[in-house]
Amino acid sequence: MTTAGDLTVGVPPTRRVPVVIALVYLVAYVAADRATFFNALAPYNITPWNPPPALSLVFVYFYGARAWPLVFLAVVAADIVLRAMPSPQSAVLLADVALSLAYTLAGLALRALGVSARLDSQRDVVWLLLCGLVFSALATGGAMAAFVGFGAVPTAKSGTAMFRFWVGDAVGIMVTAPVLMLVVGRKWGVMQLLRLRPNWELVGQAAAILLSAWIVFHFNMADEFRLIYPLFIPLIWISVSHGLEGAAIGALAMQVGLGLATILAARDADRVTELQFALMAMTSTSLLLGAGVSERRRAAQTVRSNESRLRALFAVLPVGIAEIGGDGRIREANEAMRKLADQTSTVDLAGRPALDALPGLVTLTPHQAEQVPDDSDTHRRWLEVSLVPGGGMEGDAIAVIADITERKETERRRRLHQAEVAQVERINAAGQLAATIAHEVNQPLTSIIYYTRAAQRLLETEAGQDEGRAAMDKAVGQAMRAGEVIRNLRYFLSRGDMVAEPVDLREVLEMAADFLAVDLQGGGVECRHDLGRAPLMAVVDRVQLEQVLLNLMRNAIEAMAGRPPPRRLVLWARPSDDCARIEISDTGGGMADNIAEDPFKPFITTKAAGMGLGLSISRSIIEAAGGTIEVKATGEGGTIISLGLPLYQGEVE
Amino acid sequence: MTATPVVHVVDDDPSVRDALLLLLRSAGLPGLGYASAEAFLRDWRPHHPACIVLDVMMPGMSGLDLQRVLKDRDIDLPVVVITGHGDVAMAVQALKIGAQDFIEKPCDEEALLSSIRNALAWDESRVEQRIEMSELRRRRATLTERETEVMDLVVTGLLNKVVGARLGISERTVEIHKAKVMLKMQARTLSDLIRMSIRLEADA
Repeated sequence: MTTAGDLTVGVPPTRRVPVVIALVYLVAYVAADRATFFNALAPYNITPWNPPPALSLVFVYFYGARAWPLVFLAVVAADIVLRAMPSPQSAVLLADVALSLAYTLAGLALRALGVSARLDSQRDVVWLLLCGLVFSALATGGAMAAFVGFGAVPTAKSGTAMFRFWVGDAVGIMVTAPVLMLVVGRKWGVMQLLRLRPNWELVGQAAAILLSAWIVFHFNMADEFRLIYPLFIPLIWISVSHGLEGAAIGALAMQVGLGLATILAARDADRVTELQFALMAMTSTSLLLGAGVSERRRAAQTVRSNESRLRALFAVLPVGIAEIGGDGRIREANEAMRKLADQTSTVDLAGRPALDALPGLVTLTPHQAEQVPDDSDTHRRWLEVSLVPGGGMEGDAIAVIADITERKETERRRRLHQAEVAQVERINAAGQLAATIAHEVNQPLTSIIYYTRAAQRLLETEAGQDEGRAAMDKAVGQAMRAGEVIRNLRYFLSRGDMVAEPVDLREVLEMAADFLAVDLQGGGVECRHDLGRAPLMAVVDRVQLEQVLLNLMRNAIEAMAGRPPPRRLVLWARPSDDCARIEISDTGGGMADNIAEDPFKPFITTKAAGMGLGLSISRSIIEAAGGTIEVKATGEGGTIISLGLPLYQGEVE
Repeated sequence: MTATPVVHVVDDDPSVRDALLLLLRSAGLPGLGYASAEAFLRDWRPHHPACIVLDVMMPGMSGLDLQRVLKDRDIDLPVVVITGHGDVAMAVQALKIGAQDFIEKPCDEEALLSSIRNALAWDESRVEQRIEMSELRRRRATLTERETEVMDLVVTGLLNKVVGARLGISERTVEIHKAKVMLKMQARTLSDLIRMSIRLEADA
């Protein structure tokens, strides 16, 4: 019954009442009152069937508490227009207040109870019926109290009057409100009613109503309404075949028919009330039955559409799926499974033992995503096989098989590619390393050759003896330097032989600075130490840390070479929380853009002969010691390198 | 040699620089050291004869950069480039921009010293030529107008008689003028005078 544009689900939001709707409501209210103003307990609107309260209830349900003044206006208007405001007027006015209040509350109660405007469930119908019964009792009780209080109705007759009043309002709500809710809540308009094509069943149902009514009114004139019970049969028939909608319309039709019949037969009001009471029972029964039927139908519809969705999925999925019975035979398989099993039709798979027919399935024990090679005469492929318990019956299982050959191949290629890339990188690194070693060793070798040749010449002359010997010493110094280069490389390249022990970082810093004294002086660099007074201990390999610091400080000195003063290297060290911090800052103009992007990236360098490995290796060493290293730009166009090592807080000898 | 040569050594490695300067001094070649190309451009003073021994690989301005700057500024000094071992591409580039020679490092002294000496000799020969030219110009300036006329015609290979006819003077007068020219230009033979004339013409 879901149609497009049918947006009302659950309790609808309230809005301001549009003027047109307000007018329609007022006119409809008065008209409905007029149409059913029979058998009245004159001169008041106490009739056996009184549908206007249903209008008020539904009106308030959709527009909320702000609708109350209109509800009151409608009740008063009907009394003025139809009954010329019978006296005592104060009693009637008071009664109208009670009536309008009670039905406003009824509408609000439906909202509060979460009754859906679409009357989707049996629960909604139950609440609607209950609210009809309870609030009509409140309304008519209040109104009756007003009449009795002003002496309009004698106290002695008030019991019977009250009963008639209540039955008329309650049955009016029960019969009319469901139809109104359906019409407004489901936009269930005239069009939809017209779409209900007449068929033999409808004709039969109409005939059954007429026949039952005829039986009721034709026979047994003495106690005519005893025979009302045959009317149950057509109502229940309609409810079962047409659901809630049928029940609601059927009940309304029945009420209209009975109303006309009682008018034509000019029956006694008390008798009619009795009839209406029976109709209340019939209406409740058929509405509840109809709601149940509708609900069941919707559920069945949902199940059907879910199943057809699953069927479509099952057929179209690119993964092979087969349902296997407890006997290990295939019950059903999809198109993808047929292809995997090399069958011409899915029917060919049904009934065959799953272990024989399904490729890659080797056991009927449940398992998840196992990758199985399938090397048969016709195939060389990889399958991913899952077997999960489930299916229609106990002991059933679902086999899911996918051809993952391509995925496997892609993975293999990617691994291969990665290995190749790694190999190329290693070769590159080795080449770079060789170039670095060549350059680093070439420099001292060149110096050694110059010094020795100079010494040879100088030593041949009388005057050059001292200078010649000094040159030889310098040559030896250069040979030492070459040795140092080799040793450094060894330290950089080997990660073994580390001796991690508590070391005073300030000491290592000062040693490194001493070691570079010549470079500092040669580069015209002023070196400042700001290392604090207390020892700054961390557990590291002293030699490795020294390599790192030398590397960082050489970088700084090289960065400042040839730059205008100030050329200043600042070494700073302090504890901070549980961290030993070292900072090395320079005034070397900062990093080149390609370095600043990722200073630690290997093989990126601005040095003509550099390998771009210094910072990268430094970081490995620092991180291996549980520390951190950061490179930042200083404010004044320099670079600051910040090292943090876990502070050692044990005993210091 | 007319003047003491100077070898400008531009190398960022202090010990290599120090060693090379010592070697040059031991070979009787005074040198001056510069730690970078920038330092050289800042500190060098014109002197002849001179040459530059230049390390190609330096931080900051490279050796090739320096060569280009020298060319731009019309500083015409012979350059001996020192490259790393096997860096042929760099050497070729250096030669293209006008380096006199290139030496691979490490190298023995003989190759280096002979290369430096060649560079100095080339610079010096240029210096001598320049001195000769100015001397020739000075001598020619001492000639009278008539003597210059006679010299210009004689060096073209014309006979004295023809020269006399061209200038409207006697053959005898031509001979007197010619002897004066030979004396003033300090030319021993006619072919000497012709060579001088050609050089002067080329210079003009």
